Amino acid sequence: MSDLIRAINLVKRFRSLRVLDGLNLAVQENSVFGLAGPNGAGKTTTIKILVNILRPNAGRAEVLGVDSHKLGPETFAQIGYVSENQETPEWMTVGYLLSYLKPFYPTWDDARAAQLIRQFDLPLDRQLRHLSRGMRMKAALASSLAYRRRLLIMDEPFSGLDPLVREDLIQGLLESAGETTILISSHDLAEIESFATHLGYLDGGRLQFSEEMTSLTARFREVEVIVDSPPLLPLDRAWPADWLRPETAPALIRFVATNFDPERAPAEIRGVFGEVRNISAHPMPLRAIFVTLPGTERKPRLRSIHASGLAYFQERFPIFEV
Amino acid sequence: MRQVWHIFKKDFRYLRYEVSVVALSAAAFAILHFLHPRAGLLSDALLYEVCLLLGIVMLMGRLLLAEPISGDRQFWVTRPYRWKSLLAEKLLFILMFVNVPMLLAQFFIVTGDGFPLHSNLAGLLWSQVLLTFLWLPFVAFSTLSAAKPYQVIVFAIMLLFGFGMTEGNGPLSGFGWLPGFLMSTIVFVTGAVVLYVQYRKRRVVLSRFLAIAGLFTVFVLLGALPLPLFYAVQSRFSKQPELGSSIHMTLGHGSSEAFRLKSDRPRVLLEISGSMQGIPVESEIHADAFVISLHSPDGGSEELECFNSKPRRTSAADPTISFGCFSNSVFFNRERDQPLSIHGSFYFTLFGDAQSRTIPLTGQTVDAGGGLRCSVETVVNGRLVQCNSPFRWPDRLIYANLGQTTDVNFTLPVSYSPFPANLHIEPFETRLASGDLPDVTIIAEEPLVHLRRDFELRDVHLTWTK
Repeated sequence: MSDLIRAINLVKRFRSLRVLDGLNLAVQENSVFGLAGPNGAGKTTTIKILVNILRPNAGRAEVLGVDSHKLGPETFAQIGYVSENQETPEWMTVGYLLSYLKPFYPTWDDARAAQLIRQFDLPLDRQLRHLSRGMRMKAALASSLAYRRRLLIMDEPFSGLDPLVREDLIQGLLESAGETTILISSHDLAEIESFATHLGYLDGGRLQFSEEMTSLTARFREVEVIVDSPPLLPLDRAWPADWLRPETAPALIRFVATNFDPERAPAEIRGVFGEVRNISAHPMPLRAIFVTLPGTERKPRLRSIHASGLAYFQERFPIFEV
Repeated sequence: MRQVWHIFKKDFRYLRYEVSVVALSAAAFAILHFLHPRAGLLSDALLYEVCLLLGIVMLMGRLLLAEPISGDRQFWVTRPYRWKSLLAEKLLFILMFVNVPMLLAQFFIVTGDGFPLHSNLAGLLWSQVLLTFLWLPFVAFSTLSAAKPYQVIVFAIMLLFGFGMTEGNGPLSGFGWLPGFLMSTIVFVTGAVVLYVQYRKRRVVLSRFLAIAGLFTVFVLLGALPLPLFYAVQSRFSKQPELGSSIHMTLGHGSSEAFRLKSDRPRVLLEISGSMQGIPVESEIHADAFVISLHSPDGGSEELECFNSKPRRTSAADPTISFGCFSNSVFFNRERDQPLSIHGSFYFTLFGDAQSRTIPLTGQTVDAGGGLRCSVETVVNGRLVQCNSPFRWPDRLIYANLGQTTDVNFTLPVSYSPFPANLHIEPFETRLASGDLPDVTIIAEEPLVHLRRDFELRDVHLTWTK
C-alpha cells in the first residue's frame, strides 16, 4: 500500500523554540493513523504543515503525492480537514455553509450531506456563532465528510467535547473509515484507541514510535509471575532487553513484555526465574503501553512494589489483576 | 470564473449592509448636489462623504477578513479555493461596490450640471483609476496581519487619506504632480506585488519585507529626486517648444546693488531681480521654481529657499522678474566679507494663446470655455464669479477679470499634470473671485513651453539694505 502522507526530516521553529526536530512520518492508504502525544508535542504544527498552513524550516512533506507547500485546489478537493482551532465563518448558517462549500467539491454527495445532517442533528437555519462547540465540530465534520475524499485530517477533534458528542463524531468517522485514509491527532489515547489502525507517538519534536495497532496491542503484555520466594531485582541472570519496567512484591514479579509471544513466553520466563508457581499475561490499554515505552515516560517509576505500592500500580493500570 | 461568482455571491450576502451604506451614501451625496436644501446637518455634503468613506473602509476591511491571508486558523486555506479566483473576487467586489457607486454619483453630478459626458468621460474614468491607486495598496497592506489592531490602523490611515482627498486642495502646483505620480505609482506597484505574493503564496514575511522596501523607497525618493529630472519630464509635454529659444534671462546689472539683504535673524532675505528678453507678444511667464545656492571661495555653500516676489505678470510689456531667497544668517555672517558666487536655475512656463469669454450677469451657469462652467452673481460689494471645472482645474492660467479682483486664489495654483482628473470625491474643483466690474471676463492662457534658465554670478558682494 502506498503512503498518502510522508514527512521527511521536518523541522519547524517558532523563533528560538524548535517544535519539530527532524520528524519522519508515513501514513498508509486506507489506514486510520492516530497521532498521539502530550500537549505541546508538535501534533498541530505537524498537521498544519501537512495542509500547507505552515511552512517547515527544513525537510519536506508530501500529501497525496504532492509537496505540501504546493497543495492546490485539485488536491484539497480530495482532503477533508477538521481542527479544533480552525476559525469558521460564524455568520453562516449550517445550511448555508454546506451549500456554499458544495460547488467547491466535484464529488459532493447531497444524499450523504443530508444523512450527516440527520445523524448529527444539525440545525440548518442556525448561525455557526450560535452553536455550541460540539455542534460546530459536527458541522465542520459534516462539511468534510459530504464529499468523496481520499484523506481526512483531524486535529484534536474531540478535545473538550462531552462524551455523547464525541460518540456521535466517532460514529460518523467510523462510517467513513475504510473508504478514506484518516490522520487524527489527540493528546488523549483513549479517544483514538477504539478506531485507530496505526499509532504514532510524537514527543520532543520527533515521532518516537509508529506502529500498526494490532501488532502494537498484540506484542505488549503485562506479565505477572508468582514465585515461591521473594526475588530481588536486578537479578544476576541476564534480563531480556524487551522486558521493561520490572517491579517486585513479595512472591510476585511484574514486567511488561514488549514482544510477547504466548508460545515462547513460559520457557523464556522459566529460563530467567527458574521454577515459578504461575504465569499470567494481561493485555494492556494504549495508555499503559505508551507509559511503558522508552522515551514516553513523564515521571520516574517505582522499581519495587510493596503492599502500599499496589494501589499506585492499580491506579496506573486499571485492568491489572492481582 | 464560476468560483469568482460563487465567492462574490457569498460576500454580497455577508456584506449587504456595508454595501447598502456605501450605495446610499453615494446616492445621497449625488442627490444633495442638486437639491440644495436649507442648512442643517443632513444637508451637509460632508456628512455623506464621511458616511461614504466610513462605509468604504468598513466594507474593505470586512471583505478581506472574510478570507484572511495572514494567520494559521482561517477556514478557507484548506478548502479548494483558487487563489486567482479569490483575488479576482476581492478586487471585483471592491470595484463593483466602491468604484461603481462613486462613478455613478460623479456621473450624475457632472452631467446633471450640464457638462457633456463625451468631453468628461476621460476624467470620470481616470478618477476611478486614481481611487483604485488609493485603495489597492491599503488593501494589500491590510493582508500583512490578521490582528484586529493592525487592521484598524491600516484602514484608519486610509480613512485619513480619504478625508485628505475630500478636503484637499488638489494636486501640488506646477511640476508637483510628477513626484506625486511617481510615489503613488511605486506604492501602487508595491501593493500589487504584495497582493500577488500574498494570494499566490501566502508568504507573509516576504510580503512584509516587500511592503517595507516599497515604502522605504518612496521615503528615500521623496528627498532624493532632483527638480531637473521633473523639469526634463515636464518639458516633453511642451506644446510649442520652439518658442523657448528666443527667451533669455539677465540678472541684476553686473553689480551687487541688485542683491539687497533685509534683516532679521535667524534667516536673511536675499532679493534677486532681473529681466527676461524675447518674450513673445501676448504671452506671459509664470515662475515655477527657483533652485539657487551661494558658494564662497573657501568651498562653503548653502542652498537657498526661494519664491517669486513679483506681484505682477512678467510679459513683453513688463519683462522684469524678482524673487526672494532665504539664507541662513550664520552662513551669511561668516561669508559676507568675501566675494561669493551664486549658482541657480530658474524654471518657468510660457503661457499664451489667450482665449476670453464674457459671463453674463444672470446668475445662471454658462460655458466659459476650456471645460469651465461659470456663473456670476451680484453680491453686496460687487460681483462674485464662481467657476466649476470637472475632476480637476485646467492646466492653464485662468483669470477672472472683474476690475478690482481678488483673483490670485482663482488663478493659482495651476498644475501641469496631463491627467484628466485629481483624486476627489467631489467631482468639481470650484474657485471663486470677486470684483466690481459690471461684466466678468474669463481669460484662459495655455502653457506653451516649459523652460529652464541656468545662471552663475561671480564676485557678488552681499550688503545690508534697509
